[in-house]
Amino acid sequence: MVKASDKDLQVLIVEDEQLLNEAYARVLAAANISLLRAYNGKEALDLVTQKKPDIILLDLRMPVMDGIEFLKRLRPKENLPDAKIIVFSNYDDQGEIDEAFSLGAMHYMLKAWATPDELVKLIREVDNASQPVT
Amino acid sequence: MKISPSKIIATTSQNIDYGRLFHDLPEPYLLFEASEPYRIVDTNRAREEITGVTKEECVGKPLFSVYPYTNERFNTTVAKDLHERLQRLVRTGHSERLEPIGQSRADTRGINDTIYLQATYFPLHGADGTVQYILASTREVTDELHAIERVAAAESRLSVALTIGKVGSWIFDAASGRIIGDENLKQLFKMTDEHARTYTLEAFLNSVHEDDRPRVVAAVQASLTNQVPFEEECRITITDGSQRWILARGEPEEHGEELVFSGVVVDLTEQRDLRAQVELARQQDRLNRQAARILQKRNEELEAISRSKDEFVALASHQLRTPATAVKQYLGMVLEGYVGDITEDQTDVLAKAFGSNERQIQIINQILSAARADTGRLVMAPVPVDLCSLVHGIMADMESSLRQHEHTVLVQLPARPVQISADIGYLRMAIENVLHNAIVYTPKGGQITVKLRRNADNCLLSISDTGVGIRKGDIGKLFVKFSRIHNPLSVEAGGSGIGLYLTAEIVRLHNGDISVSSRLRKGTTFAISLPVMHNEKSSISRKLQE
Repeated sequence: MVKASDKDLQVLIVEDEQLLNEAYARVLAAANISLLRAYNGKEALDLVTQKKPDIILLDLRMPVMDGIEFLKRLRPKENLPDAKIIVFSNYDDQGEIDEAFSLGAMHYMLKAWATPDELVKLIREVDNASQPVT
Repeated sequence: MKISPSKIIATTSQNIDYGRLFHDLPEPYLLFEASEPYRIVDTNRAREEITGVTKEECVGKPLFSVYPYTNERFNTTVAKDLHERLQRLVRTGHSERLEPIGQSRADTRGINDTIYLQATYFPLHGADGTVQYILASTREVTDELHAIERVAAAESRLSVALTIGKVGSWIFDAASGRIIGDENLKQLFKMTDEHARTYTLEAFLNSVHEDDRPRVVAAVQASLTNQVPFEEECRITITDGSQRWILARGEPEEHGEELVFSGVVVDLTEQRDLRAQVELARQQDRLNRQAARILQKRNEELEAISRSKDEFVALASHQLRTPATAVKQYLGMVLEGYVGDITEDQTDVLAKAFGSNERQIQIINQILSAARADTGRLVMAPVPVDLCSLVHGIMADMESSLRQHEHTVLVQLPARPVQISADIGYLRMAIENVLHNAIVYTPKGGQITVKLRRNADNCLLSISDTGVGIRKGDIGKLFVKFSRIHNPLSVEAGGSGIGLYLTAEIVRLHNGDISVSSRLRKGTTFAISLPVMHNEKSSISRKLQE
């Protein structure tokens, strides 16, 4: 288990699957990372008007408003010029991925890839990095 | 100078009413002055009838102002140089004959017909020996022309037929019913001389195909009864039993009291065969095109089904990832201490569950990759990679599985990095598949050996086991999708049957090679060779585009 405390790091989880949303929340909470949770793009947009997360874990395929649509509406608002976005998905649709990157995403991850520790590690790497993490 | 014709004639002869004779002659005559404007002096009844112009209407008038000298067709065809000819006639004193010209005319029955008339101009000399008058005489030459035409046509037919050699001519004597044919006819009908001597109309009709016979008999009867020409196409059976298509034509000829027909028979069999062949070819072509269209439609359907299958596979696989991800997170949380400490036993149990779930995720990945490889959509993203560290990483991941199977491992890697251009994810998958097989197809307590060697251009990664081995005959099936080889451990091995198929594809896309050697019950060695990178950054990007 990763022990460092990052109270000043805030992560927004945007994931429509209840079970996964909860799992990520538990993991991040246990790693002492403060978090926000949304279940679709619309909820996420509402959240970012009030709060300013440092990192957004963005699922691509969601009902109501999906990840791509969220990205399109995010930048123009210039709410979060500094937020770093990790898009994740269980669909490795190259077209989707390319579009996400072109809309400002920093990293892409296959959800089924990461164990809890690996997820936390990734978040910390992205936080420290100024360029896309491979 | 108007001199009455009667007077002219009266000076050469006595007491003969030539005027009346002239008037009553059956041929049409026109008398006119021999000098311009060729004033008409007299005309007779026959001419009045044939032209419809009365004596009163034309006498005294210039020639070229009355019919038919006003007729454009007449003047531009047969009479186009009439002026010169009349002058020549006067000069030379010789008659002038024009070409025949056709004219349609209703005869006494009111039937429209074309008749042919030919004009001749005769000089009439005066006492001084000069031509004083000209007599225009018109003759009907219709029958003559027709006859000439018929002869010409017949001659041409004959010459064509003679060229072909498949025309026979015949004569039929109605009274005796006999048909007398020439040599060609005999050959055509394959008749012996004896046979030909006694050939009758009845015999001919009997040889006609039964479907054609009623028509031919009716035509023959009509022809005989009305004494009109006859022409029919039909099938006949000749003496050798074969069937020919013929055209029979005949015309009645009058030979005194007897009715005789003469005509020709043309063999049309080849022509008809040719036509039939062309029709057959056309039909065949139509059928072929139809078949091609059906095949294309089927192909399109099959492709649609195949695409549908691919889409289904992709969707199902992606969806399966979600619960597998959830299991990974939750088991991971327990194993990685996110929800408190656990005992060693608990760790052991949970690790097995976690490992199984990992395998599930791996299989899903393989299914998706195989589906992509199928459609050529496996997209490689090659980067420079040190194969040594990649293998190290893989071995570390395989550690728990190796322990589980109680295998000993021997790893031999070069001291220096081995740089290759590879898609890390896919190459990993390829090597892991081979390793996985080595582990599970070797009974507990076996030995796995991993060696990496290199030369200037290539490197060779070999993975050997001391397992059940593969039969020579089964080696061919190894890299084929979905094939499973029966062996004692097959049930335990588990897998999707696509692991090695994918490995082979991935190695191929890396410009590498894979080979197998094996001995039953002794073990198997897989060897993967890959090109090494030289110092320049050469990337192997063999992206198969969608």
